Amino acid sequence: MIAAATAVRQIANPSTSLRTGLSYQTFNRRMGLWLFIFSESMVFLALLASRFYMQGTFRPAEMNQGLGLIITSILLLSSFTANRAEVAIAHGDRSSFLRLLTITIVLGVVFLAGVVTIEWPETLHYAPLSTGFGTLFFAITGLHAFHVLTGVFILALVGLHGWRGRYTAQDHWGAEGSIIYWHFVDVVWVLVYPTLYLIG
Amino acid sequence: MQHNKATLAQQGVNVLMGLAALSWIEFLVGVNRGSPFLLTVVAVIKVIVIATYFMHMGKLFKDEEGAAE
Repeated sequence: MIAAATAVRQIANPSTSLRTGLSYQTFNRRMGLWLFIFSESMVFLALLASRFYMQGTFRPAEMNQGLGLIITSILLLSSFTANRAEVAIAHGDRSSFLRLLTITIVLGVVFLAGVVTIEWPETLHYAPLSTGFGTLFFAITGLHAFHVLTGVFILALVGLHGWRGRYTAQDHWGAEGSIIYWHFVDVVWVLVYPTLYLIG
Repeated sequence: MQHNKATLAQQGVNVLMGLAALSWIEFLVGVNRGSPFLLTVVAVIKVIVIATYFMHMGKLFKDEEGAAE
């Protein structure tokens, strides 16, 4: 609420930025990203709500909860390395930034491989697309996997820019914004995991 | 600056450990077919932790570029 009130005040009165020390450009960048994240959140929340509306708390007994925990851990670990990469570039440490960003990308690819090559074929056996749970499972995990794929692509672009020396300690919004998007992908999975794998 | 970096590194490790512990708790609750309410509470706590410490939600309108600093 406070953040929303601050945003409205800043839009109504641009000079507010002079008092808070937040430049108009930085404000616009952050506002744009968070509005995007908010709208994406609505899509995922609608899908997660439809799981309970259509299936209640039903879940197939064969759901591989252990695999779910492993891929969840991989994504959480990638958020940690992404955070470390952001801290590194904010302190002008470009080599650490590139190393940690590469680890984040690799973890993202491992997550994606785990979902697509292990989880999906397994789930198709006991929850095919013709069933209600199967439809919801593949719609939700499919949309999330697409976000992971785009996140990996964006982080790779950021890595390329970083390798070319585009980012500095003072100017690294491209890296910061992309990493916040990556954390958003993690946040979505934090809600998807209990909704599909644990509840029921 | 270096001290600040070390502090942030330690904070990141603490957050990761906290998230790992919460994931284990929700896994154990899930395999034992525990309360959906409890699972929801744990998931919401994890979301708040990530949004606060990794996404810098609290610093949205506060400082200049480099919320991780």
